[in-house]
Amino acid sequence: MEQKTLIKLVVGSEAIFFLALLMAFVYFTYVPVLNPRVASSLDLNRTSLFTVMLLSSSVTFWRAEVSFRRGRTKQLRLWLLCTVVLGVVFLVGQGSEYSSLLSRQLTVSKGTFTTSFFTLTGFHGLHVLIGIVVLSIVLYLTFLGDLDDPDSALLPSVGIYWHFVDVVWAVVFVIVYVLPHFLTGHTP
Amino acid sequence: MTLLLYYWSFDLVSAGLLLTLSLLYGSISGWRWQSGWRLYVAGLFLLTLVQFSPLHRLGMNCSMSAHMISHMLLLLVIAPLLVLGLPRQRVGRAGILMNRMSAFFQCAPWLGWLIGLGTMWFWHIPAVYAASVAHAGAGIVPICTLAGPSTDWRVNLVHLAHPISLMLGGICFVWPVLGPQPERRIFPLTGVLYLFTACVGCSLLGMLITFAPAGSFHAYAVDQSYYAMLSMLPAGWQLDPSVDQQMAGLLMWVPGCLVYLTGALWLFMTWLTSELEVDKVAPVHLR
Amino acid sequence: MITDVEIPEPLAPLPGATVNTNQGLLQWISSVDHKQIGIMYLLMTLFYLLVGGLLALLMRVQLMVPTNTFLAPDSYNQLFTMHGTTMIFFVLTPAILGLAVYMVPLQIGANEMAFPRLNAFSFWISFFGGFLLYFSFLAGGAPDAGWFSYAPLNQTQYSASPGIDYYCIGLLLSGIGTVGTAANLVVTIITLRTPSMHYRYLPVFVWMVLIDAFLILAAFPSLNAALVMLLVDRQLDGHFFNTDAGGSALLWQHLFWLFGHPEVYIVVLPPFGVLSEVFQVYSRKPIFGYPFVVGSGIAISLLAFGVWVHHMFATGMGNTVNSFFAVSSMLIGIPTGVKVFNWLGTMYGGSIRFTTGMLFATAFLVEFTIGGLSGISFAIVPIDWQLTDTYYVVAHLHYVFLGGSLFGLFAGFFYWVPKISGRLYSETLGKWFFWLFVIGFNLTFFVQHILGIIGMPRRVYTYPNLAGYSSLNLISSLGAFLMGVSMLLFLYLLYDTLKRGKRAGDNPWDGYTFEWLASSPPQLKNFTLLPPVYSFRPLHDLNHPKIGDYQKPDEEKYGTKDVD
Repeated sequence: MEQKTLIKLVVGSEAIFFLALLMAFVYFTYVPVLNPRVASSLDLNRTSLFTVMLLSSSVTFWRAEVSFRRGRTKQLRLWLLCTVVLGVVFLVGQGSEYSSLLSRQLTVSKGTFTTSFFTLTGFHGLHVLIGIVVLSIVLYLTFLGDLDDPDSALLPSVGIYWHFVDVVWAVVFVIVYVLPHFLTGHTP
Repeated sequence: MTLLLYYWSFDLVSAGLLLTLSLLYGSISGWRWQSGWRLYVAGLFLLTLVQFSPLHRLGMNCSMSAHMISHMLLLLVIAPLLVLGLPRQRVGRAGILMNRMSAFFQCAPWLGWLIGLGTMWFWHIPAVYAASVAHAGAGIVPICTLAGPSTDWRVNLVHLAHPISLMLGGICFVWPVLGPQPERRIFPLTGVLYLFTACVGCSLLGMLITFAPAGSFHAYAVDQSYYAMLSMLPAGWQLDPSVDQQMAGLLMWVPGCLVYLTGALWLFMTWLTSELEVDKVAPVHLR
Repeated sequence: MITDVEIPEPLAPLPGATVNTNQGLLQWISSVDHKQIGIMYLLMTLFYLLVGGLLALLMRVQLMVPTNTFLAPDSYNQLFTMHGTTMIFFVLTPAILGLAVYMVPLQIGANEMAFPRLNAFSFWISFFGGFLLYFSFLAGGAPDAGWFSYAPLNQTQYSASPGIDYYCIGLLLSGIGTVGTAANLVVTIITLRTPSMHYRYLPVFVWMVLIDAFLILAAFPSLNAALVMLLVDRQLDGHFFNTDAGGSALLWQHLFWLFGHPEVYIVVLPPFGVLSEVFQVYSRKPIFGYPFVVGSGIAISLLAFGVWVHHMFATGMGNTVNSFFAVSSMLIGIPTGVKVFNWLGTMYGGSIRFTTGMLFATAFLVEFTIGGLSGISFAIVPIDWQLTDTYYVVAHLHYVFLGGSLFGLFAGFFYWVPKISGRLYSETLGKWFFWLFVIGFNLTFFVQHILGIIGMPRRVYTYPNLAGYSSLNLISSLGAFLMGVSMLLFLYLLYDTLKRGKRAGDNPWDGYTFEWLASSPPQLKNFTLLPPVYSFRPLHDLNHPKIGDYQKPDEEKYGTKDVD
């Protein structure tokens, strides 16, 4: 109960942090007119693939929670491992996207679009990384057998954080990748 | 000003809506006035004003801020008034439906929040907004129409969906906080949080509209009826489109938010000053 | 005697409490006890108060006479920036957190915070954030763009020294600590209250801390985001606020004031809570209109997010925007006014004891009202345009921060020092300190209103010898030195209290809330048994069963009905 309340408060606070970064991005790329370079320089298809990976990690985590409540430690380990792997795959995807952007000289200092893009997605990536570290610790604890009390609030608390990170990405994905793609697609 | 006051409009669907709402009250209350009926009637009265008064015409034809005022009245004033005015003793099938609705929102109050905020945001996507106001070729609207400002039924449909969906969205939004079954409302302190977060969402939208580049929302067809409407305005009102858009955004941002905050405060104060059941249960032992 | 209930906390040893108490400094460093952390917060506050005060004195020396050359322009810039940053982020904010961390568990009848380790972590990260900020002096120059670091002044082309980088990192760290403590306080208040302490019976101070913690959680992320963006700008050559490369200076102002305005209420709400305790105990009456005191606190916190644009009237956002925010800024004066009347109502007809704490509380009413009124004058847009960036602003903000927050904190300090130290302070010394400080404060800042009106700009290292400037500045500087002297007296008072003070009993003021039930100073385990709570003055009910609140109907209990 206490842990969950705490993590909810922290997540709420973090949401405002991301909202501020997101508003900066929107301000720089959508105003006064949508920056056409956004859609052309970002690869929607590949990122969609990695987005699906990250979002499905929420599902695997949910399965992990279910197996935890039922006391099935082996399944719990498996689902947790899946979650961690999916998270890592997402980060690798983000890294490869960054390197392709950088190889095209689209660095942080290129312009306001790249500055706000790298800050927003970079901080999200950092949160994913933190989530992966925490999940790995939880996974390690399951192997130690420290996680067999089904009333423990540890897993649900971590879950709130992990789902939050995924939701943030869903919003970021829509605003950074999907919307510009469609808006520039429709206007000649 | 005097000229503007003649511009009342009338459409059958809004009239039908008002009639439906009145009949609904009757069927729930078992055709008796119950305490709080004044609030319900006030809600209906405001709804009449929003749909028929010159405000409506102004919002349809030339002023985004007038449009915003009617929008906020629907979502933030009329909806809570209607919900608060619902009869305490409910009979019939509609009454059972109300109780089901309370039970539903007791389980998922966040859904009410999402519906309310979602409706609000949806109608301010520039394209959607543009579809909901009058269009070129609408011409001078006759005194009595079936539905809306255009001869195209699709445009009229959007035009009608706008107030109805806003009102329903508002009703869903306030239900968890002010619903007719007090025992199924959410805990008042959670209610404060509920309204505050809604205020944040509303401010954010207001901010976007205020600071969006001038013209993002200017969907009015600049034609005869537009200028005709403008010429009706009193001399001091400079309805420059960019100022108009800013004012609309600010109306949502500042007074709109104040409504939420007043609600939050009212919720808190009534809770804090209401009688405490614990006192009556636990006796004090003196030695 | 009201029947006792066992208090709910687990009796297992608290984490960290196993460290041997004889280990001196190590025991403080490793402590996770909320009382020790609270004291460390307060000591940190005192340290930075002295440092920040010293910076201010240096500035007042420079401004004592016209065209003075005591300080170079760039060092003056660094001084006022560091003074403002220190006082707001490393004095007022940790002071309220310190008091809250110390008093909240005691007042709600808990033995610890909900997360003792998080509590220690939050404190230490704030502490080192301050050190990092001050390290900038050694690393090539302190930040010099003012405490709000306006863009594009905060960019590398205008401020090449690494000062602003240290400003970002220092404030980020302390911001993370502040958010951590705030979340911790919320969880503590929600989950660890003694079972019968219903929300309606929370002491006003706890209420204000609860509201305040939510404010912190909502306001600080926006500062953190702004700081992160600034760091990206400066370290990675980004363009958020770099106006030469398409960045936006207004974005910084919006993000900063979205934090900055609530921050004003963050540092003033807990002092409001402190004052509510002080007024009722020293007036021997329950607080007048409890629901209104709490409700206006909530109103303030909710409105706080809707008025930040009034800091930006001079940026040219147009009359439409300005007039809306002028109105909303005036509105926020209403709940504050309600509170002032509640406190006056509490004093009215009470048998008042003018101890030093009560003196500070009474002086608060006067000074804060002055600060509030000068604040309202800024809501009038033309006046704001005329007075922006003059000494009128300086006077206003000092009346709010010192006359509001700091006076409240001093009232709280004198009220609670017998509990924290276990000893009574010397009332004579206390009164000397009070009068010196109040006179010094008013001398320093009242004349600055006039200086601002006759046009002296703030943040300029010197001024020409114009009519009125020299004499008023001299008065202001003399007042500042008087405050400096009074602070020395305060240090002596502290020493005197700890060394020679008489033992305070558990309840020297006949207080109303549970902290006075614990021993003075409280032991590691605050309580073992607590009486049930039937009003917001549980200890008063326990000690005076004949006139206790528990037998009154709610409206009398809350002071919403005339009780003569």
